[in-house]
Amino acid sequence: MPSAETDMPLIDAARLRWMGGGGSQTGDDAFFAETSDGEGQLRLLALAAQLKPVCLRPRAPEDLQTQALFPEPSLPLLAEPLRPLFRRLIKQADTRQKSEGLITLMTRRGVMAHPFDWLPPSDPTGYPDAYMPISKWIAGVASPEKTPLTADTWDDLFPAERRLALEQLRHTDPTAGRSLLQEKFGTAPAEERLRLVETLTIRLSGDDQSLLENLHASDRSRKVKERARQLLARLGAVGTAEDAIELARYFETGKTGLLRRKSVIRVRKKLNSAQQRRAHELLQSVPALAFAEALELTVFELISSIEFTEEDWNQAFLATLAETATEQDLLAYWQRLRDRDEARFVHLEMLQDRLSRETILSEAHALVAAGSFALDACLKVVGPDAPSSFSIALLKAKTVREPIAQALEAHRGDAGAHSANAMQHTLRMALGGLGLILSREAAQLLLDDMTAGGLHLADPLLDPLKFNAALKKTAHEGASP
Amino acid sequence: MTISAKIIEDAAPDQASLKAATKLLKPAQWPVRMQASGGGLIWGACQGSGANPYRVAVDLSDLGSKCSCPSRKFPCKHALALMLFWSAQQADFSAGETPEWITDWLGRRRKSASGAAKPTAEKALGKSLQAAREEDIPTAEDPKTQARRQAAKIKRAQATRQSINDGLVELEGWIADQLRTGLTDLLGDLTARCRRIASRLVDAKAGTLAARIDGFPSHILELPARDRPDALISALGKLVLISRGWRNEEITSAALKREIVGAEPRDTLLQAQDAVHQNGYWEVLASREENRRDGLIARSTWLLCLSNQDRQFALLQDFYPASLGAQGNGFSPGEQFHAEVVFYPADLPLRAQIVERTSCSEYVGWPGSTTSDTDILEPYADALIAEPWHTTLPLHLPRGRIALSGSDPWWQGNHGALPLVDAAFDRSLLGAELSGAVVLWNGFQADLLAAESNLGRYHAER
Repeated sequence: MPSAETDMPLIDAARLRWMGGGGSQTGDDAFFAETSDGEGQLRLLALAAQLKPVCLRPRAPEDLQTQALFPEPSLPLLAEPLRPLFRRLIKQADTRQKSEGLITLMTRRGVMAHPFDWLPPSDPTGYPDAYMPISKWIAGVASPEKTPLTADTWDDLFPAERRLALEQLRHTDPTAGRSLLQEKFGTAPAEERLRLVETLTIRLSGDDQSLLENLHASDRSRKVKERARQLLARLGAVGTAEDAIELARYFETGKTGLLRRKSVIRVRKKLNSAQQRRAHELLQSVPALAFAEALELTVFELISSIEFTEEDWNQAFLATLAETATEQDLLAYWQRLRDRDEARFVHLEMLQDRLSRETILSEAHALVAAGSFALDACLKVVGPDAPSSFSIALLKAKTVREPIAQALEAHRGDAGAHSANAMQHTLRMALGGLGLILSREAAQLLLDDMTAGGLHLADPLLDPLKFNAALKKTAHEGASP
Repeated sequence: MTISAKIIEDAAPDQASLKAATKLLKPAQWPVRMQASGGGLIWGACQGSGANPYRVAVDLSDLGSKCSCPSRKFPCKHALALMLFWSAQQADFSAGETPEWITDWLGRRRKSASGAAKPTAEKALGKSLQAAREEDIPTAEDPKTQARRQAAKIKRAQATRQSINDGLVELEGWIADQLRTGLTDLLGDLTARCRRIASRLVDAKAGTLAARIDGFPSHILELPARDRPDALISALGKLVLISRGWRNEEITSAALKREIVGAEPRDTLLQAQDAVHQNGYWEVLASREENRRDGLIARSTWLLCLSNQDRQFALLQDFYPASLGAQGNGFSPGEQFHAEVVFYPADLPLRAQIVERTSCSEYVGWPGSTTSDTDILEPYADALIAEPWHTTLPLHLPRGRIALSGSDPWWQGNHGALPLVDAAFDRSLLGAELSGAVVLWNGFQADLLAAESNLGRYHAER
């Protein structure tokens, strides 16, 4: 048996020779003395092949460090039989919105993804708070649990955790939140500042104006400046009177209706392209109140009579309202869009930060009933795991049912190859989105419909629905296959 | 959903396929026959001549089928055999959750295009299941022919041995030349030089040894630069050991022979008196595929015995032409089953074939590590003393953690540490406490295959 003590120096010397080439064994090498030169080298090579793995052991580096163990999950981990299905789904989630939807769906059903299957990204914004401890673990932050947010503890907290605490502070004590922000805002990088300024939307008031004006005037980030301007606009504190008067000049008042004449405000017809661009720009920046005043109207009168022939003008105005109008005015304009059959999910999405979840759900329900449906916008507006009543209404809606039925028919092989591919894509997108939005009961209903319609239960198109239907409702039940 | 014999006849591409299918109708050759809980799909595993069984699935709605065998016929004999089993006795198919490989297949296929068997009047001509079932009567061979055949076989064996001897003499000369010209030069031109000597060994009928040398560039150059000289010295030294072992007939073992000319066929192994059989529960740890320069893909599937027996690991090894494209694997990581495994005779039985297996309804935990607490590499060292030609061997490591040295991952236990292959490192493991882990150790780096942890099982997917 080889021995490291006696043979290693010999091997080390030979190793040097072999790497450089040209040399031969040395005279004091008794072991190989009786052999020819080439034979001795081969024997020594054979010994070298054995010596190291048999006699030596790797030495751990001195700086070897273990990380803290994963924090105790705040919810039960996804049941083992569902993990392969989850891994397939999260692999297919090609956008942040889809992965957030999937993770949020699981959290609402009381389970968390297994850390071996998925870890939150370095910026966990948008993912449920249950993952915050894991995000901290990934970032290597070991701050004690529930550290109160103060100027002294600001740097101890993980950024996402800090934002959460700041949001809570704004809810309970907006002045304290603002003061803290004022003191610490400059120390954060641009992306983080943009997220921090968002916390001011909570209980936004005139007291926040001077901070916002500061940011608007002197922040280094263009995006932060723009967001501060939007919030100032909501307070009615930006947009010069000149801008409002200029905007009003691009609009004209007219009459409509044969029997009941009604005033309408429209974009002037004879604007050249430069004027159109300028008007569009001003429409997005001039607060609703200033615009109405320039037209010598109230905001309510403005939104009752303004009309757009092009959708992007309508959306620009809606965006301004979402930023600067009161909730009452917003709802009035929304109602007007609905009365004119122009309300869409994309509009509701623009208003979602300003309206309560109940209002959003009820309006989304009404939109579906009226035949309007856009999957992505619906997911953004309603979120995963919608209430059962809404989910069932979605399944009954013609706008949902018909494209799925057509695509299913094509997928079964009743269409040409090109059409079948397109329809398979339609089916994948539709079932993928619905698998996130629907309640468990509705997902099961759709799953039954799909298998009755000829899809195998094992078809990966049904994965999102199967996963949804397999996730039980409460944390106590966990999840079962 | 039933299928009649007539439909299967019509679906068969030719009479030969039907005949081949009827020869596969032996339940022992089919360790798995299942049907989807929701109906409409059947699948099974058919043990062919390789170590990995073929995976077969049939969509009963249109007889579309998928098989991991390399046949270009559609449906292949395995799919036809599965249909025949189903038409004869549906009760033999147990209901179960559809495995992922079938889900993947369903996701890719389109019923109108993926070649689902479409019977036509023309195709149906000249095929008969009844004719396929008729036995071939072998013709008896006269004693003289038999003796001539035997003599020719012995002569061929002697010629092969001589040819290999000559090849190995040339190999040793080549190694001595490399030492003279310097291994630094060899490292700089490794692929071309290895290719040249490997070609000479192929001519000398030492194909398996040639493939080993052809694999040096990928195995050595994937290591960190600091380890490459030692890895090269080790690889060349093992060639010398193999060569000397072969040229001294008194010490040539069956295991060493396998390293030079390849393994004996499955039928020979099953009849071998000295082959060790082991019954127990097994878990599929991982499968690895390697593209070889000879145009073959080598697939290695590592099994862990869960039943606390002498031999903890089994290696199922298969080869198939790369030109056939990706072939489905008969096993999935984490899968457990009860099986009788037969090991190729060796001082260190590792390479094996499955004789028979049945599915396992409950999850069986891992047995404790057999690695010494104070010297985790002792089993590796012992194995090299018994069979020094090995390079990579599995190790069942005891309790430990994954730690970092800078950004380099290591497995760390109470009495030792091993550097891990960086590419295979999964960051999520850093937060887990491993109660056991299985790695493939090549003397320089450990490739983590699977682990049991405080968070459950982990299987590396590569």
